[in-house]
Order: sequence, then C-alpha cells, then structure tokens
Amino acid sequence: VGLGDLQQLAMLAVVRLGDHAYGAAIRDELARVAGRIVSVQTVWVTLVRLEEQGLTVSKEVHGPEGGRPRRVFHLTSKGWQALEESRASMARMWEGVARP
Amino acid sequence: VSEPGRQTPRWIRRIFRQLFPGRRGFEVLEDLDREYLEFSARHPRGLGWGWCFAQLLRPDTWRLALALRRVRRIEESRQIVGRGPELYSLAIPWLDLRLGLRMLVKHPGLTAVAVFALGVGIPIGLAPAHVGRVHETTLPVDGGRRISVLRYVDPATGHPQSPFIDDFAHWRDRLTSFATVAFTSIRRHYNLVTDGGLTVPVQGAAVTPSFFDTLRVPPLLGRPLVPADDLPGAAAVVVISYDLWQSAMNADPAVIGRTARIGGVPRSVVGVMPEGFRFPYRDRLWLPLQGNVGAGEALPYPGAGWLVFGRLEHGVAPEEAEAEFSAVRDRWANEFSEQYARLLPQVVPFTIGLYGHSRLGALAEPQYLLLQILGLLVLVATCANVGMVVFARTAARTSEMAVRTALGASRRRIASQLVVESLVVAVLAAGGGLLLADRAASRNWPADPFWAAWSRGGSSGVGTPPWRRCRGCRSSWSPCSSP
Repeated sequence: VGLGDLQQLAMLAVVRLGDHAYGAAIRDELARVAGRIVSVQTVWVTLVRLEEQGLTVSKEVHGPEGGRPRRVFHLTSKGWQALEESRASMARMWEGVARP
Repeated sequence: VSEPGRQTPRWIRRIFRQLFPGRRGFEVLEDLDREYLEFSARHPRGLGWGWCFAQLLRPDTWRLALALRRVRRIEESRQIVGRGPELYSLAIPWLDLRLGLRMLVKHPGLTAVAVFALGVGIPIGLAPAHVGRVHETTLPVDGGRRISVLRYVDPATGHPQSPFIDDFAHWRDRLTSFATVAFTSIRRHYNLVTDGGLTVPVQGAAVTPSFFDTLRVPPLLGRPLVPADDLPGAAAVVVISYDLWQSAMNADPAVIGRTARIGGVPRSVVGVMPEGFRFPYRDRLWLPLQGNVGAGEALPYPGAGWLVFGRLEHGVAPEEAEAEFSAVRDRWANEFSEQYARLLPQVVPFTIGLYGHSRLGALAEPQYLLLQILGLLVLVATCANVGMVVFARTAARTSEMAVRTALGASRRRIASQLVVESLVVAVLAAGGGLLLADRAASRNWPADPFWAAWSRGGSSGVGTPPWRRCRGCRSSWSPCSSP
C-alpha cells in the first residue's frame, strides 16, 4: 500500500499516542511534533481512509471519568508493514543524496 | 457536554449532524466544537459565523461526510450479514424481503385488505382494455382481416342503418371488390326441441348460403348450407354448433339426418361446425334464410337485426372497396330512391360493424373514453386506499423506528426497509389482482362474442381456433403451418 505523506504522519501519531490515539489528540500531535496544522475534517478523513484500507482499527473506549466514549485507533499488522515499507523506500531514496 | 454558548451555533450543529452520521460523527462534532472554541478565543465574536460558513465550503467536510457514510455502511454490513460490504447489496434487500414477508403474516388484516382491494380494483381498471380488445380484434378465420361489413351510415345521426334484403341482393350482384357477400340475422333466439324431447333455448342465425363460403370454415361433420337449401320449398335444414351437438345431441356421431324442431319447424341436421365456431356472435345454429332474396319478398323474420358482410378480394384495400360501394350507391339512388343519396356507404372491419361503432373504432368513442377514465379512477382510488393502509401500519411502528435509529440504523436503511415492505404487499396484491384479471378475461362471459376466446391475451385464450388447425395438428395448439 502506497502511503501518502499525511497518512504516514497520522499512523506515526497513532503509534506515538498509544492508548490515547483519538481524533483530537492525533491532530494535536501532528501540530505539535510534525508542525502540520490540519483541520478536524482532514484528520478524520485520513483516519477513516486508513481504517477502510485495513491499516488501522478503532474501538470505542470509555474515559476514566465515565464521560462520552472516544474512538481510539491502533495500527494493524498490515499498517505496520505499510509504514515500514514507506520508511524503507524513503531511506533508499535518501541513500547517497546530499545537498550539493 | 460543552457549556452553553461555547459550542458551535445550533444551525451549523444541525447541518454537521446531518453531514456526519453515526458515532464517529459525534466525535467529529466534538472536535469541531473544540476548534470553534479555539477560534472564538482568538478572534472577535462576530467572526464565528464566518468560521462556520468556511467549514461548509471546505472540500474535506464533504469528503468526510462521504467517508463516514461508507464506514457506517461497512459496519452495518458486518453487523447484519457478518461480512464486509461485498455481500451488502445482496444481503440487505434479502433481509428486507424477509422482514416484508414477516410483516404480511404479522398484519394479516392489512394483507387481506390490500389483496382484496387490488384483486377487485385491477380487473375493474383493466376491463375497458378487455372490452376494447374484443371490439377491435380480427376475426379468427382464414383471412379474417378481409372480412368486412358493408353498411349505410346516416350522416345526421352517425348511426348505421339496418340493411334491407334488397340492399344485400343489389350489393352482392354489383360489387366486384368482394369475393363473396353474405347476409345474416344477429342475436336471434330460437327454441330447439330435439327428437329425444329435450328443449333448449338457443341463439341462432338465419343466413344466406354464402355465409359459410365467406368465412371459409368447413364443418366438422356433414356439410354447410348450400344454395339449394335457400330456395323456396326446399327441405328445412339446420347446421348446428359443436357444443349444441355435444349437449343436445349427446355427441351422436350419426347426428346428420336427425330431426330437431326449431321455432316449431322440424328441421333436418345437415352439418356440425367445429368447436368454438359460433359466428356471428354466440350463435349455436344456422338456418337458411329462404327469403327468396332479390325477388322483393318479405323476410320471414320481421324485426330481426341484420348484417351484410363480405370477403374482400385479394389485393383490394377497404378504401377501394368503399369507393366502388359509393359508386354503386349513386347508381342505386339515381335508379330508385333519392333517399339513398344522403346515406354514407362504409366498408368497416367486421367487429366494428357488428357493434355499430364509428369507423374509427370503439377506442375512439366517448363512451369508451369515459369507461377508461372510470376504470382508471377505480384503480387509483384502490391504490390510494392500499397506500393509506400501508402508511397507517408504518405510522403505528414509530417506536420500532426510534429504537432502530437509536441502535444506529440510518434513515436510508429504514426507508429502504419500508419501501421493500410496501413492495412485498404491492407485488402480492397486484399479482393477485392480475391473476384475477387474467382469469376474468379468460372466462367465457355471456356478453362476449365467440371470438373473444381467441383474441384475448389471457393465459388460456392464446391459441389457434380448432377450425384453423390442419388435420395433422388437431391435438396441438400450434398454428397450422401447412398450406
């Protein structure tokens, strides 16, 4: 599966956030770590498409205060494989590349 | 729950709620509330509405709306069919169909009302079509299209005039467009007493011998009427129908020569016509006219309705025959009576002529149009009633719909279920109605002419009359292919 730039970043954010990888947190993580400020809709479109492709799964998790459940995302093995392939192909492309 | 005044405005929330369905949609809405809050904190209060409009214009908003619908469909599919969306399009209609069938059993009253209403409404609605087909069909005899009625029409009233015997003799002798011309009484009734003492009231026709030549239908037994039978003083004879032979004569194979009293006159049976042949309407016996045609004598049946019909020569169009008919009429008017000059001579198809319709046919007459409108109104009223009953059933299930919605069923999903349920009722009721209409059309109604059995589209009516089958294919319904 060829991953887009934002898809890779979102998947990495999911991995980084672990059990707290829900929509708003992923958006914040993208802004905080990668410096990518994206809209709520853009993040959710990306997350839904990743789920459709089988790269992530989600389940509703109740908060500690018994509030409204949040949907938390996790990478599937297929997602991990796609992410690693993207990283490897990017590394191969960078190999031997230096700014003149 | 967000604090009042810190959420997105109510109107945009409503739009977002419609755009973003399902539980994911709630989360998106919460995230948008949060973003709106951040925006409101950084900008003047009045700009909030601008943010709302901007969200609606974002392509991602609409992409997300579509994506969330796709995901919900997949999840629904997994819940219902235990598989992904690949079987969704097949499994959902099947599930709805099963629910619809279950509803038929659960609401037997509604099912009975719908089936009964459409079972009555559809035959009534289709009755005008049946009448039109019967009134405008082609006769099921060899070259039936060429059998035409010759008549005079009064232009003042538009009604055809009953022909006189002298008219017939005149036309027969002068018209060259017709191979044969015949004269027959219509809808005349007789009392038949067999030699065994059985009395049967029957409809029969007094005909000229050319009657059988014109129709070219050979008898099953014996012979048809011949010119010698029509001469004054000739032996009294009769040709009977197949069903009269079966019922009154006990299908006696030696029926030829047996005597039957018809209208008090003993007559010898000389022929039996094939099964189904009851020309010109629903007649069961045929007597020679014996009116000394052309000699100016009175006919023996005063007050009867009469019809002149003939078989057009090969290659002669009805228009050509009518032109010749007009010329003959002109000569007749000059020679004898000017009253003929005002009458319009017409050559029309047999079925139109028999019923006395205008030359445009039954379908062009206002009475038929009225009949069609009435039939259509009955059908519309029936459908509306069935629709109301189905609606009432649906309205009584609001709590069920509410529960389903709360459990995540989409509006489309519920609507599709209701449509399929209604379709199940409609298909069952309409199927019953069409079946009844077909049965009604196939039935031998007393008001129908004999050829209705061979002209209707009903399941039992399509076929070839026995007299049009060759000897080799008598037992089959396939048309005769031999010359």
